[in-house]
Amino acid sequence: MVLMLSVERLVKRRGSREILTDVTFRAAPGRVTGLLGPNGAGKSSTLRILLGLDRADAGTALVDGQPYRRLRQPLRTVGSMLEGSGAHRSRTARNHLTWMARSNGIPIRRVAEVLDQVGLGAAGGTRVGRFSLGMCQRLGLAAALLGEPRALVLDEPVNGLDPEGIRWIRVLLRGHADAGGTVLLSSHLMREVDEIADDLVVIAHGRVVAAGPIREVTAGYPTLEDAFFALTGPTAGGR
Amino acid sequence: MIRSCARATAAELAKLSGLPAALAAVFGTIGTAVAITGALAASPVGANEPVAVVLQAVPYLQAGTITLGVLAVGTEYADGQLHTTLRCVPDRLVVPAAKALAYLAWAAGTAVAALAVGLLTARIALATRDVPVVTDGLPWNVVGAAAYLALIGLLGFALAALLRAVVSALVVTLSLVLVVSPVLDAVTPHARYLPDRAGGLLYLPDQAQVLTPATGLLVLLGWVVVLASGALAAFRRRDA
Repeated sequence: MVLMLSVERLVKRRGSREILTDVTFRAAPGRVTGLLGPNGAGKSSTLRILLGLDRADAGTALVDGQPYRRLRQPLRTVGSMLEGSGAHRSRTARNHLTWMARSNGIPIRRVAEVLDQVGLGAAGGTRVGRFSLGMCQRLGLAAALLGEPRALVLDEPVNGLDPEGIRWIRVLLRGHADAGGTVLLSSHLMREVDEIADDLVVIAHGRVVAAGPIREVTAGYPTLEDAFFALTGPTAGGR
Repeated sequence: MIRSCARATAAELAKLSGLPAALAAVFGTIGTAVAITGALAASPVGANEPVAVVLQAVPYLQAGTITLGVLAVGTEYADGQLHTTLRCVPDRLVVPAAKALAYLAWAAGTAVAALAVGLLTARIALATRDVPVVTDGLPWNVVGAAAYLALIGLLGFALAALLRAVVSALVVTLSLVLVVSPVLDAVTPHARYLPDRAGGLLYLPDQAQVLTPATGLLVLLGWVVVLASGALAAFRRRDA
């Protein structure tokens, strides 16, 4: 049941610019790890490398000691969500999840189950192009949950969700971690991370500037917000 | 490896079935076959034999399978679907292989259905003109036409992989087979080495007898392999 996500000395360059420098952290089972940083800090780039979409110039990003690209049925190990629904707009939500299920040998009954779970039970036959931002976000979550994975990797999961949706996802992720699962999520929203995460990885200008249990990272600052600006501001951390 | 390929192919088949544009391409091809063979067979100056009528319709039908090939690949590059695909199947060889297999299954089905419906339409239309129709077995050139239709769509498939977009790949491929090829054919005999001219020998004899159906097939496949391997190399190297 133990599943560790480990990122070790990750370096990524785009042209001559280094967008990730020696990024190192772990996301442990039973805990919600929040990857926190301002826009453009390198959160999505890190997650994209962890999910095997982009290649690192140096370093490793491993799922239980294996690169994602070597996983046979990855959806059964790591459920993930990136920006947007990741579904072609002319498909129905149900078709999108059905092809995903087929690709990993996941029973097709899971499609209806996850649609119900994320509150899209009545919208399965609707084309994704007609979804609101919040519905796209819910579809992305349904896709992440499809293979009943032990780890969840979510890029800005609360974007576009209404307060009720934010509360719902908080309960969902808490439950996943309490059941022994691993949760890694990124956000630029401090309050959300403060309320969901057990562990914090603060990233700025492509470098990890602080990491550890949330109370340790914010120790010495009145609030997470103060800690965040002190750690990620122009005078601190990255260059 | 074989199991993950089979799963990936099942996923690609489901993907095509969920694209309204792909279904429109399939039914559009079949509808076009009916309309064109019907018109040709009903015309008193047209061919008097169902097979000949159907073969005349093939150059129009190829737009359908080319569209199917372009859609199979090109739609990955809209709305971030490719990111989903690669998170489901991270292997950069399995994805294109599964996609090509799923495309070929759909295109072969579409080609066979369009040609069969075209033959039937031609037969009925000729019967209404009281033209006697000789019934014998399925001639080799109808089988060749089905193979040609499925394979020429691979050209659209490969070009969509290179261009990573539906519209530009459709424009390039369709103008190649519908405009550039006929124009060059009027200008130079070397036009016979264009993919659609060479592949066309699968159902039409070469008047100049330079290429045979087999060598024509090889020329068409050569085009596809060159374009597809360029696209594949870039796909494996590039960040998604």
